Amino acid sequence: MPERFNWQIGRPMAYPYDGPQPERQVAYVFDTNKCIECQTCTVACKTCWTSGKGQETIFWNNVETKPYGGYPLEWDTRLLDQLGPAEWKGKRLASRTIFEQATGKDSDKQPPFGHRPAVEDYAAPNVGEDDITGLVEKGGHFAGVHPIWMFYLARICNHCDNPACLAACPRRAIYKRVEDGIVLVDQERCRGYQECVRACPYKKVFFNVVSRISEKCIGCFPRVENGEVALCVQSCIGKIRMHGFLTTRGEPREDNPLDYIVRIRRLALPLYPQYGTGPNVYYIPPIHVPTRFLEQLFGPGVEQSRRLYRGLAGDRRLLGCLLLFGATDRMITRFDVQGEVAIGWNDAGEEIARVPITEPSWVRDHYDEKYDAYRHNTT
Amino acid sequence: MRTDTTPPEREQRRGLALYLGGIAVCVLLIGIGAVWGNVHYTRTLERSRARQAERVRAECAERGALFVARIPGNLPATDPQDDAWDVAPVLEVPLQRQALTMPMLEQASVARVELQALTDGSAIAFRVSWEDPTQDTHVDAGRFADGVALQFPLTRNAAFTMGDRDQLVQILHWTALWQLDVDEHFQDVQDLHPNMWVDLYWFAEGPPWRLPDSFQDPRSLQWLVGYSAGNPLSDFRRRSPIEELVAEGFGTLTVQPRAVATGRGVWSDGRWRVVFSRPLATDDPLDYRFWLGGSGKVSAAVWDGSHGNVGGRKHYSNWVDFEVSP
Repeated sequence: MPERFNWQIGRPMAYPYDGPQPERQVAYVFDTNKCIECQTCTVACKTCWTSGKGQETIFWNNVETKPYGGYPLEWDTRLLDQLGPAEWKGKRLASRTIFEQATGKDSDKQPPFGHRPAVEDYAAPNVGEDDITGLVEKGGHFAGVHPIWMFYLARICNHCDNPACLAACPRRAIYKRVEDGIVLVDQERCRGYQECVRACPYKKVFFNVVSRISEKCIGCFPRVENGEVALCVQSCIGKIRMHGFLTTRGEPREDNPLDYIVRIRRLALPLYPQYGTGPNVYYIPPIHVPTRFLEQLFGPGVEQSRRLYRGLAGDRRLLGCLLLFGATDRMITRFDVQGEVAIGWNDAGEEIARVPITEPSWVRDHYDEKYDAYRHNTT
Repeated sequence: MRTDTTPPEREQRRGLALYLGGIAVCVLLIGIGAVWGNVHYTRTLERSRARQAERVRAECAERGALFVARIPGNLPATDPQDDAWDVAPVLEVPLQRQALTMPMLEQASVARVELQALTDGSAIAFRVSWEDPTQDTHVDAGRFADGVALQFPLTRNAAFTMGDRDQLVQILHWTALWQLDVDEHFQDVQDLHPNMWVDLYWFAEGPPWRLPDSFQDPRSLQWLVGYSAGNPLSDFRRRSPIEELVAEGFGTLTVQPRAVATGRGVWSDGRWRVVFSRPLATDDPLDYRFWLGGSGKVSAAVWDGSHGNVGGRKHYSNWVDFEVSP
């Protein structure tokens, strides 16, 4: 089996295809600290892409509550149970990825290690996830890590560097686009074997019972081709998401917001990097959750990321970059922080976003002389 | 007695009459002879064909090959429970779990199939039957249907492992799900989850939101992407439980746009019995050609849905020889 270097695990790993790197890689940053699980992203995606017959329990985008929630049910804990905890030596993964589980003479004939959820696991997304088990002591919210905690995890297809779905498909009906790294299931070629459903560690490929083939997040490719962000990104009312491209051929660029946040500053981390698929949705970890838990989810960079996040007020460039989240419906491919503003440009070099580092504020008098009226704070 | 003719003329006429009469008798005799001879010849031929068929049948039995018996008319083309199958020669074909390519079948659950075939001189019908205690008819997340396929080589050296590059095979594939689609109606979400409720599907008329009736507005089909892309698996207007495919190696399976095969599968008493039938020859170069008195190779594959069989996770046989009755 060919080998390729996986920067997320700090070492080379086996992967069945020796495909070229895409020209650039579509990528997302989700700030978990800002997500309120309003599900606007879920509804935007579902209304547009998966509101058809056979797609009743298909959510290309979902938001779940950690630590106990998950859609499909226990999608991650089941695999973690079978694989055991990830072991890191510094930034290098010491345990084996899902592509390295099989041993012996037939190991080449084994698909990536995975499991198949049952029908019931898709039946009740979010039900019971938010039931609380205790209260945080008064003032505890400001004490950093809580003894009782939860957070929201928004999930879409990771458009992985080394997609397990693609590696598992015996018909090669799944492909990764050279132009932007978006991973797609060929709807003409798929024969519904569900090998991709089994192999994807994120369970982001779904079986459609009416079309009887597999479907997955298409990365809103018709929008991306027009320089627009995905619907889940555009609709996010908390502005927790940024959608752009990582540099794949050449060094990460300081002026590319995705490169800057993910590769240069390492503020946002991949989800379950130990699986080895090279996922491209990067999360800013929640600052109030115990590190040990987060390190299973996001790998060894959690503490460093948290330090950066807490120090954002004095980190103008990084702060400016984060302020561009949700500032435009178009994809920012270049940014800069100039004085008190963060500016974003698109591929064509057009300025598409301009955001002040500090929002201007005005304090108005209690009494308005012009209208002879008193202003009241009604909230 | 008065005559208008002279004696010599009369003689002449009598002679002519005798002559013509003689010819007539001769022709008659020859005719009778010919008919008799023809009948005799046909009988001999039939006897000889029957003897030949018997000899082929015996040889087949000896060599472990399938004998395709010829029956006069009424080929049980879509009836796997027809009496004709009770007397058709049977070949038991061992199966093994697929372990040659990814994904492998971890554990075998079907050991063998019984293979039979009949021809009426213009069409051929195969019946495959195997033991399966569960009738798995539906597909869903992690749920798979029973199925069976027959494979024929389109080139002389095609491998039984679904052929190879430029070494094509033709495959006839039946599934229990498609049988139900054809026998009842397209197996829709409601058939899998009878208590389902959805408020609306864009541009469709409902409830009851059944395909195809509630989805007449073309705009309602936008979300049926497999169907819109022309994927044969997503065809909710399926007419046959059998699809025809060609392949030239693992992962190359391709549905033939034109299909002539028909058939039917019935599950009873813990056993599937599935008939595949089609004309001996067609004008499609990618259809296998059978001919009377000819021989060929066939192999079988079986999927046991409740044991997670799907795609490459299947049971398959090696090639077995068959000979068609002359």
